[in-house]
Amino acid sequence: MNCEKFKTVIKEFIAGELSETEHEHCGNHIAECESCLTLWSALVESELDHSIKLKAGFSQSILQDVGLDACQQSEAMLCDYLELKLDPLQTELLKNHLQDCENCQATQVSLQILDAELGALAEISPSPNFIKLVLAQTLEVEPAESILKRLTGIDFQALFVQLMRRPRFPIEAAFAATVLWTSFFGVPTGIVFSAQADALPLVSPEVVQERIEDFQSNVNAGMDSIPVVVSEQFQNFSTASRSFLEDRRDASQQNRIALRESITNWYSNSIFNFSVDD
Amino acid sequence: MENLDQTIKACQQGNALAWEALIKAYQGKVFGVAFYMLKDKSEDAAQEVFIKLYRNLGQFHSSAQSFLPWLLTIARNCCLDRLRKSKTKMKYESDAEVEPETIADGIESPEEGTVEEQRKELLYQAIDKFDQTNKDILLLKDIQGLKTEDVAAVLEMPTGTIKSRSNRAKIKLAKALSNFSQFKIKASGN
Ligand SMILES: [Zn+2]
Ligand SMILES: [Zn+2]
Repeated sequence: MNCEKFKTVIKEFIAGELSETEHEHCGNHIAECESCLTLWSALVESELDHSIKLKAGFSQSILQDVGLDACQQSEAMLCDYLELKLDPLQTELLKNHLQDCENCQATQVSLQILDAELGALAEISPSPNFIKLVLAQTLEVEPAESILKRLTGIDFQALFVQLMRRPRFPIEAAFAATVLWTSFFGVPTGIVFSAQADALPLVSPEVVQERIEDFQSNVNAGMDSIPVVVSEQFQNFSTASRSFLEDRRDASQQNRIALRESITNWYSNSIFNFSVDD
Repeated sequence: MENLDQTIKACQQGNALAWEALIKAYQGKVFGVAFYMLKDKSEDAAQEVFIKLYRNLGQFHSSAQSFLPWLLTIARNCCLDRLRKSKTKMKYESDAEVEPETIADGIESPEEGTVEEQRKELLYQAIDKFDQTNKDILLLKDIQGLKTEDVAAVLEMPTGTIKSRSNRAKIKLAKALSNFSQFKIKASGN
C-alpha cells in the first residue's frame, strides 16, 4: 500500500469499516510511514474531539498490528495510577486508554474492589478471652530482669548504666573481681608452686621456696595497698555471702525474706557505693 | 495506636495496663496474619506471638513506626516455624507461579455466611494459588499495609522486586476475581 491509496481509505480505516485484509495493510503502512502516521493520529484526535464514536478496541487493534500491546502497558501502570504515583503525562495517556478499553476499565474497577477487600483481611477479631489468656501466660514468664528487680528492689539495668558512666569502672570492676576471688579461694599459691616445680625440675627446693616467699610478699604488699574501707567492705561481703549460702540450706519462708532484705540493704549500702580513695 | 512510644516504654517497665492495651491494639492484626498463614490453629499461634513479643520487648529500642514491621516479623516467623513443624506440606509454602486464567480453577464457591464472608473466602482461596513469596508480599504490603521499604527489609528483597511483584499479583487476582464474579452473576441469572 502506498500513501495515495492509504489517504483514500483513511476515513474508513479510522471508522473500522475496511475488510480485514485492507485494515491490516493500512496498519502495516502507518507502522512504516511517518507522515501517514502523523496524519492518522491528527485525524483520530479530531474525530475524538468531535465525539465520533469509535468502534471499541479499534486503536488497540492498530497497536497490535504494529506490535504494541496497550493493554499490557496499561495493566502495568494501573496500580501506580490508583495510588496516584504516575506523572501527569502517563496519567493522561492511561486515562485516554481507559476511555476506550472496556477490559482495562473492568480490571481497574476490580483492582479497586480488590484493594478494599485485601485491606479487610488485615484484622480478624480474636476470641473474647484472648487478652486474658495472654495476660495469664505472660505473668508466668516474667522476664528474669524484672524478677530480680522485684526481689531485690534494685533496677539492675539502670544501675548498670549508672556504673558504666563511672570514669574508672573497668579498673574498679577488675579490682573487685580480684578481691572477691582472693576472699573466696585465697591466693592461688598452689597452682604457681606446682607449675614452677614441673617446669624447672633441676632447680633446688631452696630456690623454689625462696621464689614462693618472694611471690607471697609481693601479694601481701599488693593487699596492703588496698584502701582500708574497701577491704573492710569486702570482708563484710564474704561473710554475708558465706552466711547466705549456709542459711539457704534450711531457710524457711521467714528467714528467706529477712535474708533477702539484708542482702538488698547490703547491696544498696555497700558494694555499689564504694569508691577507691584517690 | 496513639502514644505507641510511651505505651511500649511503659510495657518495658512492667506496666500491666500498658501491656494489656498493647495486646488489645494489635491482637486483630496478629490474628489476621496467623489465619492468613495457618487457617486453623491460629489462636495458639497468636498466643505464642504475644508471649514472644513480651519476652523480646526489652530489646525494642527503635522508633514507634518500626514497631508494626517488627511485630509482624515475629508473627510471620512464628507461623513459618509452625508450618515447618506440621507434618503435612502446607499450601502456604508452595512455589507454583499462577496465571490469571488458572486462579479461578478449582475454587469452590462458598455457600455459607454473609456475602462479605463469602468474598473473603474466595479471596483466601485465590491467594492460596500463589507462590510463597507472592503470598508474603500480598500479606505484608497489600493486606497489612507496610511500606514497600519495610516489606523489602523483612523479606530481604530489593524494593523494586517487591513493588513489581505486588502489582503483578494484584492484577492477576483482580482479573481472576472479576472473571469469577461475572461467572457468578451469569450462573445466578439462569
Ligand atoms: Zn504513507
Ligand atoms: Zn486495555
